[in-house]
Amino acid sequence: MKLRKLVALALAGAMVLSLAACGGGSEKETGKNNGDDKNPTTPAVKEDVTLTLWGAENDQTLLREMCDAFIEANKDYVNLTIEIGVESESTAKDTILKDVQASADVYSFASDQLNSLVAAGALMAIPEEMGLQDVIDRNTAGSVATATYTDGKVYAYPRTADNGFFLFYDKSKFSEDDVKSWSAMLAKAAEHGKSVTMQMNSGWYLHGFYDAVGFDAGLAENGKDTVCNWNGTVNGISGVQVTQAIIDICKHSAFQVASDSEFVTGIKEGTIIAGVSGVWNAATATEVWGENFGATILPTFTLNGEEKQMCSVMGSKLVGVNPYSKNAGWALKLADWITNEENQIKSFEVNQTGPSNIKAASSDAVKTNTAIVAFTAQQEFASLQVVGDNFWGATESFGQILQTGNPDGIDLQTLLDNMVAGVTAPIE
Amino acid sequence: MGNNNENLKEKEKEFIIKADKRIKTLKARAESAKFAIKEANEALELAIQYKEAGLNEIRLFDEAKKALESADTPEAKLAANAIMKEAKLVAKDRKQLNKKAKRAASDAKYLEKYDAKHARYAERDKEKSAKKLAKSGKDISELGERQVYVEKEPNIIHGAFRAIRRGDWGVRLSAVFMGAGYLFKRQYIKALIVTGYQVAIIAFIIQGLTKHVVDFITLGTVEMKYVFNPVTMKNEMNDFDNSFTILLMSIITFCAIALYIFSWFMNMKSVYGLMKLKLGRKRINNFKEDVNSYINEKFHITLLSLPVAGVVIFTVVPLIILIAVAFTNYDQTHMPPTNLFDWVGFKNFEGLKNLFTSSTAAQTNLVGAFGYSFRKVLIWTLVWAFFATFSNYFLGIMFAKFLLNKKTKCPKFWRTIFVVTIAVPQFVTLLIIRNFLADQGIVNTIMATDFGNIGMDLLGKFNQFTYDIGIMTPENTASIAKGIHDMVGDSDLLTWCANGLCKLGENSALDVLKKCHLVKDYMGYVPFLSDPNWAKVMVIIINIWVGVPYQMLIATGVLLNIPADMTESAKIDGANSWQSFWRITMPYMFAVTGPTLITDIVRNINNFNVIFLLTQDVYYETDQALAFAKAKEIDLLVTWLFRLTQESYNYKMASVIGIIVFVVCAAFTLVAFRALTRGDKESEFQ
Repeated sequence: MKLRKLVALALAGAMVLSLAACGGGSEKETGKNNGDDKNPTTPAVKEDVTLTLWGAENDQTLLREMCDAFIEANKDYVNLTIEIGVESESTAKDTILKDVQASADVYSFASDQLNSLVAAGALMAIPEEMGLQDVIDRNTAGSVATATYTDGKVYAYPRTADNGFFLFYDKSKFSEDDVKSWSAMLAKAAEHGKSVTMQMNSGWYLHGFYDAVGFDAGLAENGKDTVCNWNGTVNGISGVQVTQAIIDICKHSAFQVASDSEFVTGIKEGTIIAGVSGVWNAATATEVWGENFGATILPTFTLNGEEKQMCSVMGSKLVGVNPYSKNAGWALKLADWITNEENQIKSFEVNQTGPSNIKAASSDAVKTNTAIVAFTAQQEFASLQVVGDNFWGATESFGQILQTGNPDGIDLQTLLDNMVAGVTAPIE
Repeated sequence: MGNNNENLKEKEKEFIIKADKRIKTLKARAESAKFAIKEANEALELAIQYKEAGLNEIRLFDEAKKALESADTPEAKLAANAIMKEAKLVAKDRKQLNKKAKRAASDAKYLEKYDAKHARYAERDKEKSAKKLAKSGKDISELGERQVYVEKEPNIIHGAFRAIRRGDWGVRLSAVFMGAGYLFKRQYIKALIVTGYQVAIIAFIIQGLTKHVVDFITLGTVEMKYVFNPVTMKNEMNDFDNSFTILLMSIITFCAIALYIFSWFMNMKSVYGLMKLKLGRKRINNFKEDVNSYINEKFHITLLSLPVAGVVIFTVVPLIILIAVAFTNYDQTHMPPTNLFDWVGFKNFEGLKNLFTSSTAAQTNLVGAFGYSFRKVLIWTLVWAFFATFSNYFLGIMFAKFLLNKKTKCPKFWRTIFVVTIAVPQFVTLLIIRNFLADQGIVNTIMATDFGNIGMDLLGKFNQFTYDIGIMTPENTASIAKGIHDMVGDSDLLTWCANGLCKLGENSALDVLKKCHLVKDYMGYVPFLSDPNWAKVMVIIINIWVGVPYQMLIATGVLLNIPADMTESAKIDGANSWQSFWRITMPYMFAVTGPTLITDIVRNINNFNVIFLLTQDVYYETDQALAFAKAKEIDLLVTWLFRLTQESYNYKMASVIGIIVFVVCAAFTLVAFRALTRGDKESEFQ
């Protein structure tokens, strides 16, 4: 009888404990460095410093090598321990904004997340004393521009300069002339009975059409809101005409809407023979198409009978430092190390990423990589896309209406006006 | 020797004086005692015994001393020591007796005083209850023995104040020092524990008040700033305020204050109860016995205390905090630790005022967009809950009837098939179905394939099969085909049939849907989960797959319990199966499963899994007003709430939606339960 009661009590206790959320923060040891940054003097007692680093899944081995080399290079000044975690670069913002103070000291992210991260205080401006000028000099101007916030300070170290989109195509199905314009490409694809794809329900891709004509979507003066004039008229061309051009492409029988994963599935199955994508799918495309992997600048689209060259967004992958880190100085040094010339070359060799370091990008190997060549060629028509947070939601629904061909037949000017209202809505 | 004798006489005299004094007081008390007569007499008895024991002891000690002094021989010494030992033992006994006597005396005094007091209170209570009875027209003599002057149990608040008025000094002191009451009743360990608890909780409250509650009104004023120090290689930060920590800890402090007040009242009740025990001459437990009682008679309290504590700490407190967030402006631009957020009162609820904003107005004004979205999403949530519940309910009954029907062959086999769907986790099922029904998924591929192609495909596969097993060869097949052609010839009718078949074969399921105008002409796929209207229908249908097995099992159980005589008599009276179903089976089902139906509707209002897993990443909103407020037409209130937190960090609006969900569910439950339980449905049914 007594045993039963004890068991019942124990179970009740266990039930209560299981309701408790487990929260555990890892303890970071703080270290002290007695020297200055450039030439740290060998301290009498080496302190223990632990840093956390977050990188993409396919980067893990490479990052581990780089970190070990960094620890080795600094072993006379400090006892470093570096823990590496997995965090996809395109979703870094979501994870970090959940709890900035508990996030990693150093993390890599895609440049379109810069504004949100700086506004939430999750990025630290590179101080002059920690080699800011060197970072600006050694990387391409475009990549440094993607790491600069509206206040003019540089908030992260550029690591790759290949986060944009261009055209992939199967060389065995298309000749070089076929892919110069959307109309030719779609006609050829219809002949083959296959499809061409592009993801339209994203402001990132839509930028390619509107920017080509001269429309603007940018950051307002207060640094939070967005300004957008896609519903107006620029250089005698109205937003409605551009929108109509997009809808014409979407309604073509050979055009297929596909998200990134559907694009990959499609080229593997052979139903998709051309599409707009970026360097992240270059490896898959090479695998499937082999020698026939073709990459080139984006095609032109028909607007009022004229052909207009599509533009793309200039973007890069950046490595940033969390200001809440207990060892900000060593974190800055680690970020600097990961993005230096030697390591960018290594990254290219392993993952085929396009380096942002000027010297690294001028090597022969880089210059002959199909995808990177296409990307670099497209840079002539690329521009920065710096927008506030309300840009994405409104353009997503707008793009979705376009890619389904505007099924309800809504007046295009109304569509544009509504989208712009959503985009420019003030953030309180 | 003479000195000693004189000393002895002195000691005796002193002792006798004291003891007599004591006896005199106690005698006086015993004579004037009215209530604690027995105890007073006992105390007197003990005092007299004490006097005797004391005198005995003095004499013995004297004897022993004398013996020791005059001991010459070892035997004499031994004897002397023996007497000394005896004397010491007697002394020990005497001391214990003294203790007992003192305690008895003080108890007797106490009982006399408070019995008198409480007798007066009892009289007053009796008068009060007599008055009350008189009001309702009864006389006090009508009540039996038991009911006269029952001290009515007051509620906990009145009880505490009554305790202070009627209690002894221990009880009154407990109002300030919670352990005092136990101390005065000789429950020392319990006093210690209770005092420890009081000190701990007050310390916690004071710390909370000084550190966090001071900032509660402003929710923090110091923003985070840091400066990089190149010498130490660290960022130096100021002592910034974290709005969320302030909110959290303030609310926890308020809850601690509430807990303290609650435990104060409980404590007063407890110490007063202890006093009543003593007045009732009942045994007051020592600590061991107390613990035992919590394991035996009061085990239900012990067992419940942990889950109740768990619920309060992990459910109620977070709930209060999240409701508080609805009155702040905590969103992506006001995120701690870098930014601060403030109280904004009812600003976030303004969307509710604009419930009837039109679609066009909503596109340009965020508050209007929220109002518009609330309306649309709420309507769909209720529609969904209704259809999801009733479709599962009625289909469950159908399947149950099918299984229970005597004409069904191998019902066990059918039951297994229906129930096996429960074995696959809902999560897995829904994700797989979402992939099947995706815009380029396998179902769409089949839908888009021409019937002719499917047919030719199947025919080809069949032919290949016959070749594989060896009953036909390609030459045989070709000659048969030629033979048929020769036999039939090129008649017009057959050509027409053949052409017709070809025409039919050129269509696909997709084309059929297009002809019915369910799919737009230029689409290359059926938008199962990406078009709002298609998605709404599909979601309800898929939910049937997920939910019917449970309903079927419940329905089986209920149907088996219908009194057979009722259905038999109906049959005899000539009712067909349809009438018997509607007039007998269904009312019985409703009576039994009515409450379950209500809970199911409320559960479906919050049915997150089905909607979220089926539409995430495949459904993009095309209504720009809804997209402005980050809602989807297919969303329930909960999924909208989820995406507001996950994707936009808009915690304040998510809180507001959460409150609305609660209000809707609570209102619905209360109304429905009241309607259901009005009157005994079971007896109505009979």
